[in-house]
Amino acid sequence: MPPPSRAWTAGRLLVAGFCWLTAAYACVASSTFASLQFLQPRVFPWTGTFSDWHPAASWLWLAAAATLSWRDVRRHDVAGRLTLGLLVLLAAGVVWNTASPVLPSLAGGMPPLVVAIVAFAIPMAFAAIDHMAVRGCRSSAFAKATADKLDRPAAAERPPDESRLFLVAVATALLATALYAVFASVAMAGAFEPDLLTEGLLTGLAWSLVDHLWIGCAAFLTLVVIARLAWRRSGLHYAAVFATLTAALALAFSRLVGTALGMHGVAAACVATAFAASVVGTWSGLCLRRFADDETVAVSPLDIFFGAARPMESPARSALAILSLIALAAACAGVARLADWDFVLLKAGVMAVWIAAFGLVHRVTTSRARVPPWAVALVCMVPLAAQQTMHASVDQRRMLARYEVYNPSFRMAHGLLHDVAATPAFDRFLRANTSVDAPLTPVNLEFVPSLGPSPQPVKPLIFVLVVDSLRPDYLGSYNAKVRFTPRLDAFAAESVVFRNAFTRFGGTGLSVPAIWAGSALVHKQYVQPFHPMNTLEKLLDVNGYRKVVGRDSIMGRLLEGSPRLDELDAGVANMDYRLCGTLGQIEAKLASTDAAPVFAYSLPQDVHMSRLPATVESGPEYRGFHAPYATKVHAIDACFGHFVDALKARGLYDRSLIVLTSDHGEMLGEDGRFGHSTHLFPQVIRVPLIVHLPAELTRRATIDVDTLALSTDITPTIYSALGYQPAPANPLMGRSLVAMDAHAVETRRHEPVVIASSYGPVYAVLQDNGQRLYIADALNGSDLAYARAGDGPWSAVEVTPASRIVSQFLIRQHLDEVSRVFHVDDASAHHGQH
Amino acid sequence: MESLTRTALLLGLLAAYVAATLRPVLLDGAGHGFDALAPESRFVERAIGEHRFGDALPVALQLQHAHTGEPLVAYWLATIYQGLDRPAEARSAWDDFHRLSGSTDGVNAD
Repeated sequence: MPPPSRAWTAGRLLVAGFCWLTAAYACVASSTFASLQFLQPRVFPWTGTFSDWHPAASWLWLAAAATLSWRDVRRHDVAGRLTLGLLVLLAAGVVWNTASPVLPSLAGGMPPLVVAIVAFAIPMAFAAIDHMAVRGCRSSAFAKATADKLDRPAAAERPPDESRLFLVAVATALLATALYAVFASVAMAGAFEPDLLTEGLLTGLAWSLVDHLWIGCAAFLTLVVIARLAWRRSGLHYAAVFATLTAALALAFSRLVGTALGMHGVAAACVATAFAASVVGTWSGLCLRRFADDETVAVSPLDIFFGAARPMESPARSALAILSLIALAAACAGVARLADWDFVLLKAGVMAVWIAAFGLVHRVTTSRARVPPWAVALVCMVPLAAQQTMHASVDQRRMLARYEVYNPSFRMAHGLLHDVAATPAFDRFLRANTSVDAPLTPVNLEFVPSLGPSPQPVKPLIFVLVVDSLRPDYLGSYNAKVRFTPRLDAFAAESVVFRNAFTRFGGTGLSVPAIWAGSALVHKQYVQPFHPMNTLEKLLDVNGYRKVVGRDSIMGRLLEGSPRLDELDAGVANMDYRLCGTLGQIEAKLASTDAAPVFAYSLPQDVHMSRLPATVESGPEYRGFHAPYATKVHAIDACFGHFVDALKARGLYDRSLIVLTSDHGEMLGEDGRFGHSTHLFPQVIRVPLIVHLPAELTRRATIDVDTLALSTDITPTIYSALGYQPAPANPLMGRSLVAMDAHAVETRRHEPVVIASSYGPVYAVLQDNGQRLYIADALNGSDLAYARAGDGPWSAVEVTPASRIVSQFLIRQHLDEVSRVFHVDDASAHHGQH
Repeated sequence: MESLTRTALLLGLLAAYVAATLRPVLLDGAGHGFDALAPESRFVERAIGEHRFGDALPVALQLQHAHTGEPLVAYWLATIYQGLDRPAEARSAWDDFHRLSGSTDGVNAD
């Protein structure tokens, strides 16, 4: 049989790639939050396109798979019959997918995981056929390898290529260290990094070398011990290497992707294993076919996975390979810079570079020189001893943290070796209380018992504008260095600027419902029906407000079946909501003859990370700021100013309650992080909160703008604006910001506040009126602490045992309160959780 | 013989790497025995959260007897005594917490 052409191999990779893309979509859809926040709103439009066209694409895929498998079908052996059977099964699956498209129906729970496993299993089935087809070949790679050894009895006393493997592992570690050290130097160019002067860089480089060597030596020892134990039977040796690579890849998938999507338990392990077996199987199957049909000799299973040694490789070709490696590293970092989730893409890219580097070194290393055992032992002991004896001081830890920002390979290696959960039992507790699966019955939340119409004869117009991801330090009213928000600053000068405001949830998914409920909520997306908990909607309904609201993917669930709804941005995709367009629509609706008072709400996406331009012409006014973000803030400033002008022109401004805030902040490159993901860093949890009060309320309000304010205080503040005296029924509910007496202010300044990520088991505790922050990250098994003085910048501080004990106690107390208020334990007992 | 020696050396090195990897997990498993998420601990914390300080006190004292060096128990006791308006005992428990946790950062019982 002729060897497979490159086109055939590329075709097979495309067929497998379609399955992996399908599985990836299903994995993301298995997470309720990811499904609701990313897939359904089509944050990345290509995901929606892929889902829409998946049934049609399946037919093309089936045709490609059948064409590529045709030569196997024509074989008159078991592999041929299995190929035919597999194609029939796939055809049935494609018919089913056409009649009832699978991907659009996936939204959380177990079905997406089953779909992912099935999608991963298809390339595994093709890989199994590859292996069977090769076994049938007389000149199989295994046979060649065995024959090679039998021809050289002297070599049969020990496994072949042990020294070569050692050199490859160590050289790969050195190559990765050097490559990314250069990468870090280039990335740092021009950056002000006082922690990364000569000492800092040398410290980073030393730790990077030790960590990379540690991983290289561990890989060498694992593979060489397997070879020692199994080399006499080439099939067993191959299977052991296959299993080891599969286990390593499954572990990487589980730690990188599984944790980011909140996948845990047996189902998650099955998905990770299926992914790894699918990738390793496909690669090895294609390589085996190539080995079986050409004259190359494989002397070890690693030759099948990474290619046999090429002693005659030209220097130009080797140089080209190294350049490709550098390009791969740069491309992976570039893609991760555009869109990433807690470094998942960045770390996956580093893994790809490591594997490619190993393959490259493996092919060009041809040395048959025996490395003496003492040298192997010495080199392997060095990183082990260094890891056990090197303890970074506080200063060095700060340097290493900064070095990680510029060196993704070091971030990956250091994380693998040093990120050990400080309190694993507590992390499990957080995971058990996050993304609650149990069906919950909504509880009735209320600020006013037996809520009736407001006693005020004239009701204010209410505008709640929650600009997704808007940071306060990009507004002149919070940061004197900002020169690009003149209209917002003028509005702030006529309003109340709460200088110490925080969101209750780091992420839109639960932050918005918490604003409407006026309360911290159970970690579930979403309790349905939401109406009993929706204290803001109940207030609007009882007072006959016309609700002018954008029904995005979240509001659609919160306001299901709501009366008197006048939709904003109808027919516009969630991620395309723009403040300018929305305010224009609100202006038009104000001209309506409807006598009912107006309440308008929108969640514009102008400054959301996914909607920022890659580059902008940076003007001098953006110096020191993230220019793509600043330019968007500048744009909304003008529209907002125009809207205020329109209200004033109509004589509505003085009887309007206008709330300008955001659902959370954003990382804009701090510590190399972008977006908000599951982060609860100060940049993510601080929000702007500017409230323009109706003139009548301004006269009677008691306000302390420096007291800690929460996003859950907005709704009770609106209650106050309508003449009610809202009282929180439990500690999770907010307080009115315009009716705080001295006692309420004192209580708020001293009480700790627990904040949660919307998308993962990450919790934070704010203490001392928002001056101290503790973050418990059960995704990464870490905890962090920050502190600031007054309105000054936040600084990372050491997590002391005392602060960890107290903060974790406060988080448990908070989650106990959540369980009590929302009856989580009762529901979980019936559902079999906890 | 040389092959056996070399195999033993490689196995020994691999074992050292495995031990270094699993050390933190093993140390956590062989911890000091106090579990803040054990049923008794959860009972105390829930009782504190519901202001049932009288119910929490005996269980907290039992746990203090069983785990004398545990700062979290001292913190509970400080909170409980404060809730029961027993300031002298609260102060003493608070001192215990500071001593056991090595606290110097002004963490308070509020």
